[in-house]
Amino acid sequence: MNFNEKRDKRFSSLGTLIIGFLSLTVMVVLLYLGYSSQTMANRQSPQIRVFKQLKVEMISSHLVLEEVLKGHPDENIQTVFEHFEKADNYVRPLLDGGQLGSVKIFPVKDSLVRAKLTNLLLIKDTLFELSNILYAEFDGTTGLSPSDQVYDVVFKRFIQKSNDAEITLVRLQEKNIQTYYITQIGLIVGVLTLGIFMLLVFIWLRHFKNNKQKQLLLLNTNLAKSEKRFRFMTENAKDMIYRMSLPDGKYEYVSPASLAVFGYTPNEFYDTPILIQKAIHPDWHKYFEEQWGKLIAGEMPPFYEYQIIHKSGETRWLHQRNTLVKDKKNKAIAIEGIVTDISKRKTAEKELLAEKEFSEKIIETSNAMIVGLDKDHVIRIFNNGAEKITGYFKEEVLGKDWFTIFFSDEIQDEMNAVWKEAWGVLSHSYENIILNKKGDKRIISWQTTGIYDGKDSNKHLMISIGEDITTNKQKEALVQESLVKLNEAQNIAHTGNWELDLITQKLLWSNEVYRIFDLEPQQFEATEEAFLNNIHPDDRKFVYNAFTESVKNKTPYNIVHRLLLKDGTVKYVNEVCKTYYNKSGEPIRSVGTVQDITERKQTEDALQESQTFNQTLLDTSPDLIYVYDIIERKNIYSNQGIQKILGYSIEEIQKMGENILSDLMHPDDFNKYLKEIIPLYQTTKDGEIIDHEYRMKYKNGNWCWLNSKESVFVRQDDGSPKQIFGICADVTKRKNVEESLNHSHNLMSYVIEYNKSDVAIHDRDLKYMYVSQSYLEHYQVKEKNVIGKHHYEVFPDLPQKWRDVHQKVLAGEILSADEDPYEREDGTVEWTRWECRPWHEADGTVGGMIVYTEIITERKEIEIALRNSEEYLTRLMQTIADPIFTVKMPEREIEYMNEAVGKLFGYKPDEVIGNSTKMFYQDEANYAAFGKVLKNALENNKSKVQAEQQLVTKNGKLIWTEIITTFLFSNGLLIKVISVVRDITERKKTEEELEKHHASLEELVDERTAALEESHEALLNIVDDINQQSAKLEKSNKQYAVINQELETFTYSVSHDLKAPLRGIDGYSQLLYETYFNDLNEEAKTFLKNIRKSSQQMNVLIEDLLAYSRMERQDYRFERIPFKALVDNLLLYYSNIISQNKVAVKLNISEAFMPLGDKDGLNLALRNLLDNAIKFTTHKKKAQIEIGTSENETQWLIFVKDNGIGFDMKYHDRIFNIFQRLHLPEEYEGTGIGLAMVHKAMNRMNGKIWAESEPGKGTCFYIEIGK
Amino acid sequence: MSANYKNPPILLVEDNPMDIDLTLRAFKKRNLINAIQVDRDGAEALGRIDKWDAGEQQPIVILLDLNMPKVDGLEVLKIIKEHPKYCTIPIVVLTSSSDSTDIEKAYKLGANSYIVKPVNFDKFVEVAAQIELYWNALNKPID
Repeated sequence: MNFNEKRDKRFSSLGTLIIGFLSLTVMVVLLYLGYSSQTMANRQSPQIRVFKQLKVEMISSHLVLEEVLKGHPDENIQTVFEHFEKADNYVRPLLDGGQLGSVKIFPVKDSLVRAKLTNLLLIKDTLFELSNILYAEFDGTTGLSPSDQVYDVVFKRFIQKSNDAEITLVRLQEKNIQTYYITQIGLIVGVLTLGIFMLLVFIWLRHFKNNKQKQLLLLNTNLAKSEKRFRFMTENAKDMIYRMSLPDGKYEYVSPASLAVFGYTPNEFYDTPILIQKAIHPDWHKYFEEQWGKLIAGEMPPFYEYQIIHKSGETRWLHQRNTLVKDKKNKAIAIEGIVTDISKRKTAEKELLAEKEFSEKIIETSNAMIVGLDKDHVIRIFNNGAEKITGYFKEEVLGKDWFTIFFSDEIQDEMNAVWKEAWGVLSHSYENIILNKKGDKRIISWQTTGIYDGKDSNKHLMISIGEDITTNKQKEALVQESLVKLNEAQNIAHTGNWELDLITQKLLWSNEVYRIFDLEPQQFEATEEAFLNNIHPDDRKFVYNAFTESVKNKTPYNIVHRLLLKDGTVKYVNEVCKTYYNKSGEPIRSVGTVQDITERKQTEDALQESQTFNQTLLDTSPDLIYVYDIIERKNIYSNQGIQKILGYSIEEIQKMGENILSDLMHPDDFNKYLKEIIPLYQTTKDGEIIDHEYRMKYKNGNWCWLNSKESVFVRQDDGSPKQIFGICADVTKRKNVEESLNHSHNLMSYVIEYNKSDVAIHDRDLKYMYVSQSYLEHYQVKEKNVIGKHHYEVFPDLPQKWRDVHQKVLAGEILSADEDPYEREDGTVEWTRWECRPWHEADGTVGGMIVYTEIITERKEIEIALRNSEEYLTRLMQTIADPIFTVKMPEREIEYMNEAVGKLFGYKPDEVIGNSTKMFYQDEANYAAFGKVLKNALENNKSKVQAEQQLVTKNGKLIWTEIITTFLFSNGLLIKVISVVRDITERKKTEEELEKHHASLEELVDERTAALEESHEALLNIVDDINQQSAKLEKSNKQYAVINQELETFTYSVSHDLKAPLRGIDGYSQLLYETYFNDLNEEAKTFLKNIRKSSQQMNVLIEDLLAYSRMERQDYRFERIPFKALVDNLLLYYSNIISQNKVAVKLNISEAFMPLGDKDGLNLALRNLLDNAIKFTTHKKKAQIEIGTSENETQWLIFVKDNGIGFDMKYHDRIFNIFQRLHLPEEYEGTGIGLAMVHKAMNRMNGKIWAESEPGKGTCFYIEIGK
Repeated sequence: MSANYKNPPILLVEDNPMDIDLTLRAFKKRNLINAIQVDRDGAEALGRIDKWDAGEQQPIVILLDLNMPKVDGLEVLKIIKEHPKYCTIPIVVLTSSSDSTDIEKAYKLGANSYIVKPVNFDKFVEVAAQIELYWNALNKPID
């Protein structure tokens, strides 16, 4: 198998894996559905029992009440009430759920039944009230009162309604059971899907085992079969299966059954979106839309039933179950549904009801005698006909023993023996003689039928219809008729019965038998031979033998066999037969039942088959496949893989039980499993796989590496995982190889990582395999871990040049460069020397490339710098005005001179270069002296030396020069010197002159120094002055603070002390006014009123002054103020006055407005502004106040705007001064302190206040606070 | 306990004679049956402690002014409220000051109530009525 093929297979395996897991999910869902419907069925039966109990209580109450009203001494009304209470106790749990004795009652979920129950409760309460009334009216005498009649009507209504509700409840249960069957089919589909999934996993695992091709082939065939079976089931299901996409309502899949169910082909469905809705019967439109709405909303009713108009025009009953399909975002994308035609069932239900009523009527009205006996032959039913024939009244015989009453004592034992024989037989007819009340013998012809109600043998009844053939043979016809009716009722249970007269060989079939055999009663004469002809040829002998054996051995038989019908259909039937014998032991009659169990049988077979299939699959797998319960910590299932892998026997594994993991798993891995893997299960979604590897102990004690792929198999009701499904393979060999590979890899990594050179090894995808630290440092790679990363990912801006190089190298070339510029991200240029060469795999192909590089920027820079500086130097020297020499040492031979040398000394370069410097000296002594200067400097480790020296020009002129000489060394030896020569002849002259002036200069300096000292003293005096001033200032500051403090104290105490005399003035004025009211004239009274008014005005003034002074004394606390809340509070405080003055207040405040300031200060400011706004809008018809906020980058801004009288802006600054008023007191009251306070408050908060106003138009005050 | 009074008295601690007069008149308007004891400054009020020790009936409530000569009201409040026995006597501060620092101090020292004396006499009568109703009729003191 070459590489590509391998890859393709792997991809297809991946695909199948995905499909596999989808199927697994479907299966889990279906399993859950199956489980839940079963639970539903289990919940129902106690509900019905409880419901029956409710009726019993109500009837009991009725009976007791009757007795009470008849004046029965043993009964009292309390018992009636107790029955009501019990009835209430029974019905409540049906609505709310609860406990009755040991039985848990689940609330009825069906809304219809709930409504009926609620209605029943109402009727029950009415009955209770009526009972009370009746009892109250009861005067000891008998006779009907009007309430009596009402009570009767209501009681009948209760019975009628409760019967109705019970039937609905029973029908609901039947429906749920049907749902259960549907989900059973779902279960099988799920199990089959699991099978397919297993197969796929198996195939996938098999890919790596080439030598087992045959098995693969076999499995493929099985897969095809299984798929075919699955498709067959969908395509041939009687129920229509569909999938409809949302929201467009287009059908994505419709099974062919649609033709039968709706009369429309799948194609018609595909062409017409939401065709189902269009087919709905008009009566059901509303219901269907409601259900549909719930479904779309995700409520998903378990099922719903409705009528449609079939394409043929017929009305049909349908049963539909839906699932809403959602995508990952929880958006509904499709609806999947199963639609079943239940018209026949509905008709049957209707007929059954009619039948039941009819039967009851027959029993009551029939002239025939109808008697029902329970298993102890106690009389349970005794109709009017029986009364007539026997002369006994019902009351006399009900609950009593049939034989004791109607048969003479002598034959009691015989009758009991006959009874034992007859009990349990479905139906038989016979004649006997009974005694009537008078003691006369009557010959009765009986037709007896057993009615068996489920498993409860106490409820079994033997119904006997008897005709008094002593007197009246005409009634035979009626009896016959009712028999037929009863038989039909049985047939609904898909069970037919037959009777074979062994003497005449006449075979009687009930209609249902014909139906089962698919034969028309008119066209077919039932004979034993005909019966045998319809049995499947393979089973004929078996059935015949069973029958003959049974007749011979006198034992009933119960067998399952096949029928082969004329159209080729095969049916499974369950046949039960019993033969009756005459007294001499000869068989006379065989009676039997036939039940069509085809569907059940098919289901069982399919299940059986798929189980066998799965088991084979599991057992042939070399891997360990298991289901582990993580809650109970035990293995639910494992195949033989564990034996094969670890070598333990199944017994040994079972012995380990729940310790299997802790015993066998490597302690390190077990620890990891507990800490890391188990928590993973909790978060794993369906379909996700947990892949982990760990060590387990072989039986021989060695460790082996296992790889487990696990997913959640079963969840608990709350969705948490319960069982884990896993497939586990032995990966020890792979692990060992991995380990040794790892070892050499690590070694290589180590060697390269700490290599001093810059080395990188790439694979052929240019991903880093190994790289040296030095490489990462030099190329400034910030990422710590580049191994596995692509070269271009690490260097995204790598130029095309390099990319070309890489391609060539990967093609096999070896490339290198000694000097190569490389520009970094920041624009700097690095020089590299590099070599790229391919490395080869064992088979000779290129495996990747190795890059050796060296950053040579530094060397390169030095080279360039050197070159540049040489050039620079030459130019410099040429342009410098001072003469410069380069002299080779120790020869003192001139190597170089600049142009300036020529100018100063008159030589041309070729006259000088190559000569000794001796030519510039006056004599040998001078030459030697300068040599000594150089030597001294060298001995003192100086790098240069400066000296004055007389030199000689070309024309013999002596000049003074200053020579600066620098030494150049190589390997510690002086190789040359550079000397810069300066002509200092002029300076020498000046120096001599300066020497002469020196004395007079010193004198001058002395004079100047004296002057400076004077001015210094003056400066010190100024500083003194400033210090004095500063001290004064500080003192006055302190004084000011003291005065300020005193002033505050003064204001505070004055304000307080002023209030006491004011109270005196006000109090005594009032007392004077009250006490001497009659003695005072009107003028005096006015005076007193004015005194009081003044004192109160003064009080307001004092309060304001107090508040003003308080501001100074209080510390301001800065905090974020929730402004909106502050204003809301304030408006609450002002709400009375605002509504009195009919002020419209408009707010424009952002919730996010949170200025930084002192809360009390800001509150005070706003209160005063609001006071003002209200005060100055008093005379406005439509007073308006707006409080608003805004902000910019640095400031918070608050404004309070009114449409009041306003003011002239020329007074703007005055209004914020204390005691400043713009109006007369009688116009607008006020102390003139308010705005001053606001101003002060804002100052203290480092804020600002200003106003914009126009007389007559209104005023807007602005407050600004820094952010 | 010697029962000098049928009903426990109300103790008024107040220095201003006009305020005393007005307060008494205001209570009189309420037809108060309790006796009203008057102490003219803090020192006199603190002298009560000895009298209570000697068996004098304790007041049902003390009405205490703050600004007083010798010992001021806050000091009186502090001493009584720290007294192991008499700290249970309710003290209502009745003063001209509506200063928040005064209010805070008074409550911190254990005042049971703080009432600002209104300047308006009608309101003052009302306040007296409320004090009488609350502390004399409604409030349940320690027996």
